[in-house]
Amino acid sequence: MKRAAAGSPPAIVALDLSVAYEGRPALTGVTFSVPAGTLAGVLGPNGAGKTTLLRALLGVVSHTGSVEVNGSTSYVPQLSAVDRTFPVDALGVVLMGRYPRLGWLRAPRANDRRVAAELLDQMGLSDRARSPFASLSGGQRQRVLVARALAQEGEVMLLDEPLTGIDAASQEVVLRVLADHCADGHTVCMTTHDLAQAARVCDRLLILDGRLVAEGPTREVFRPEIIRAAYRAELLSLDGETALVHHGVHPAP
Amino acid sequence: MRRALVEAVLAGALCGALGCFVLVRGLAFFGESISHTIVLGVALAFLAGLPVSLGAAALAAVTVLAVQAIGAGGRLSRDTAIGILLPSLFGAGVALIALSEGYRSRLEDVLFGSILGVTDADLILAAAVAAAVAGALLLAGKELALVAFDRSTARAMGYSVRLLDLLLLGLVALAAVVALRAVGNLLLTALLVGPPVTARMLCRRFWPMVALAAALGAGAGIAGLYATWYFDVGAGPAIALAVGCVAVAASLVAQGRRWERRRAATAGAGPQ
Repeated sequence: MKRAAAGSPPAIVALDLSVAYEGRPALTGVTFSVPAGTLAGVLGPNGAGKTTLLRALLGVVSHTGSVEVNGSTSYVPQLSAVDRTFPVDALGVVLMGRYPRLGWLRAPRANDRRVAAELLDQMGLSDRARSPFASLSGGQRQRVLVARALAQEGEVMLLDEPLTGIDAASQEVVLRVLADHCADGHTVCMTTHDLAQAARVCDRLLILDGRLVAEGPTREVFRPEIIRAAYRAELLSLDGETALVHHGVHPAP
Repeated sequence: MRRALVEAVLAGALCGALGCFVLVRGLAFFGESISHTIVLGVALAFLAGLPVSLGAAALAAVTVLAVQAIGAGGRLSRDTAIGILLPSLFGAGVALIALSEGYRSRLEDVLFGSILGVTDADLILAAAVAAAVAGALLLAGKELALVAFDRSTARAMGYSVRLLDLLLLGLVALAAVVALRAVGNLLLTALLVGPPVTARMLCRRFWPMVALAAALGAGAGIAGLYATWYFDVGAGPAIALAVGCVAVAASLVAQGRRWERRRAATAGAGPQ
């Protein structure tokens, strides 16, 4: 396992990043950087701008300030953004991750199928490769979407609430795979409402509330006063490293 | 009759294949709409002494661009845009037809098709559209399917989803122009939605569904024409009826499969 070399440029740099929808600010003056090889968690209450931040990093929303992502990106949307009734099997979904490198005209080839099958195996789903996506559980569907993002072989993976609404076993598989991905030198940035999991697995945290509340190594940022300042009324309980918040679903980018 | 058969096969296959994208994208209302708005193009072309297909294609293009422009604004949904365009353009088309004395008698052809009267020019148009659709699906079929499955990731991958939307709407519009001759504007939805729905009941993956829907559309065209020949009924309605019969048969097969699976599962569970 290898981490990104010390002294290598950060994978993500945002300077005074602001995004507004129809004049209504969603994110204001956010400045942060994420070192390469880091698992970064983006926290914040509903409407804090977590999904907007991902949109800005992906370059699909107009913004002021600057955003720099060093390397190609892959993306895992919220489960609700995917049409689960679409007629496709798990292997077919993972193969979609190969489309950008295939280009127009070309269909996936034997090597793409091999890569997709290996990734499904890595996610513990080799026996469900030919199962319709619609027949999978929420956790299995999420694992398939993570496998699809891995198939893109991007340097920076962005995930929008990958732990929301899935079973504990699937959460463990997803988090283990993301940690391994970072250990290989890739960078992962995920939004989540699961504060306990974020505190447990993330190297760094960004805490948002329409602006940047705090940013830095998890042990420095995951502090009761900072979490309370960001979540306010949405925080149900905060006990050491365990915290519960109301969470909802945001529109996809 | 031979020309009619070729037209029916091409129109059925085109609508069947593209209808799969219409189905998974929830664009059935757009398909219905385009079949109505092109009536204005047909009427204008007749009044100007131009080929009817040219007028239909022009209005199809206007509809696609207008729907896309209104939908892209973000304030109105695409369905709302269609809800505004459909009655306006269709109403204008019917009014023009009513004003043109010579054309009133051919209103039935527009509404229900006139496949037995297809010309060589119609066949050339249908073949050209079929080639264009096949080329477009070879070029960007997997990207169009990706947009249908997961629009946000398609955008994140760098695809211009609006351009792909425009491509799909344009292809559906072209297919509608061809199918107008075969089944008319009132029954076009049968070809655009029926075979894909039938194929969806029988297929678990998208591309086999597209292939089956194209085959079913072509088959319905042939069956409808034979029904016309033997039972002396209108070709358009006969083709639409054939589509309906195949859909009912497929739903019975799908239901049978479900019962079979349930019975196998119950037998596998064993006595309690």
